[in-house]
Amino acid sequence: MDRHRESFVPNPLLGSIAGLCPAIAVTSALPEAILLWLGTLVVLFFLWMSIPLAKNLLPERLLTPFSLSLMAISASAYGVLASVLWPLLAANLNIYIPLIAVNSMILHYLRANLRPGKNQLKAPLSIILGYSFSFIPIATLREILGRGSLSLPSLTLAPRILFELKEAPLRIVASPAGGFMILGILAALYRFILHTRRSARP
Amino acid sequence: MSYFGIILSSVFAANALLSSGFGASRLARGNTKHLLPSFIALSLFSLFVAVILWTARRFLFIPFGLSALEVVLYMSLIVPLMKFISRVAAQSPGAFLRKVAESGDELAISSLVFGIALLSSKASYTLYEAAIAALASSLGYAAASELLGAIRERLELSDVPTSFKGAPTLLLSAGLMAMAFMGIDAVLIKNFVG
Repeated sequence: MDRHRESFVPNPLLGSIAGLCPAIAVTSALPEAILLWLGTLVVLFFLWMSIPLAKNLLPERLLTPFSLSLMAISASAYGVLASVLWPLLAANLNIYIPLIAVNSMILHYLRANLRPGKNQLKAPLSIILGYSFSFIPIATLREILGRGSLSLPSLTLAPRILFELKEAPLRIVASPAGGFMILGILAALYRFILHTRRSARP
Repeated sequence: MSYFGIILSSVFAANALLSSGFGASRLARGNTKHLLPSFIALSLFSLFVAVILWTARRFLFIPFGLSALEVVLYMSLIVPLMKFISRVAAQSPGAFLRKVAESGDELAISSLVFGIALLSSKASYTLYEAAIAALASSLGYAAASELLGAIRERLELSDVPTSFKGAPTLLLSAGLMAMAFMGIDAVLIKNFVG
């Protein structure tokens, strides 16, 4: 089955197909997607800050349990903060905020960084940029096509609507089925661009 | 909802892979070896985690308003326990049990097991219903991933554009399958089997 494995390419979502679960289930609306994206960044930030320290202070066998507990605590704290600041959006996200702690993209980052001699600064930046430049545009596209509107999270109960069309152009895009299809098309497009750029190199 | 309704609903209407996206990354990267051992490990762990989370929610988290600690309980206590069980099982003489243990070790920290357990324990189910929902969700995931695995093998032999090969075609196929599963919704199931 190894022949099926995809080779690792920099974008975590479209290239190495990591963190698909929230990208399929949550990106049907931009405010929820932003909330989840922020949560992912918070957990990544805490990991990035603490792994070098933990590597110096803790014995190797305690590194994994420490990192897992840290991921859980940061996801949990973010969940509490989100439910205070954006109660409606946090309630809509339901089980997906706790699931940030087991996001395969974060786990991929953790596994890579627990190895000795890993560059701590560059890796999270490329992950964050790659993830942000795919997660947020996908959510924007899915909200416009699937719901016929575009909104942003606000500190009031309801999200702030930027514009609203009379009718949603393609409702299926807001469903998980549409999420799979949009991600499939964008992953193919990403591979096409990557392939074209590689073959254009002298 | 009747037990049969819960099973149908968890397999079709709320399919773990096609409606919630749990384990989609695992599937798209081709981690689908050993179907039966994988299914057994997933079922056992989902059942185990769902029962623990349901009990903790009922007697600890809801009475004391500590729902945010679910993830801490999972990562700090349940994951090490699952890893320990997998490692003990991996030392057994039987090759099949070793494969189950290997799959269990991979699944212990995944959105698949935790997601299924959270969905089952957060619905307004009794303990038995939550356990049945967790088992049925595992069955739904195994069925969907097996179907998609078969489609993937067929597509490997077809003349597909290079950029669509692998994960993109699998995601598109999953989208089409999810559309088919959307036809069987919870209301329809409730009307049929109660």
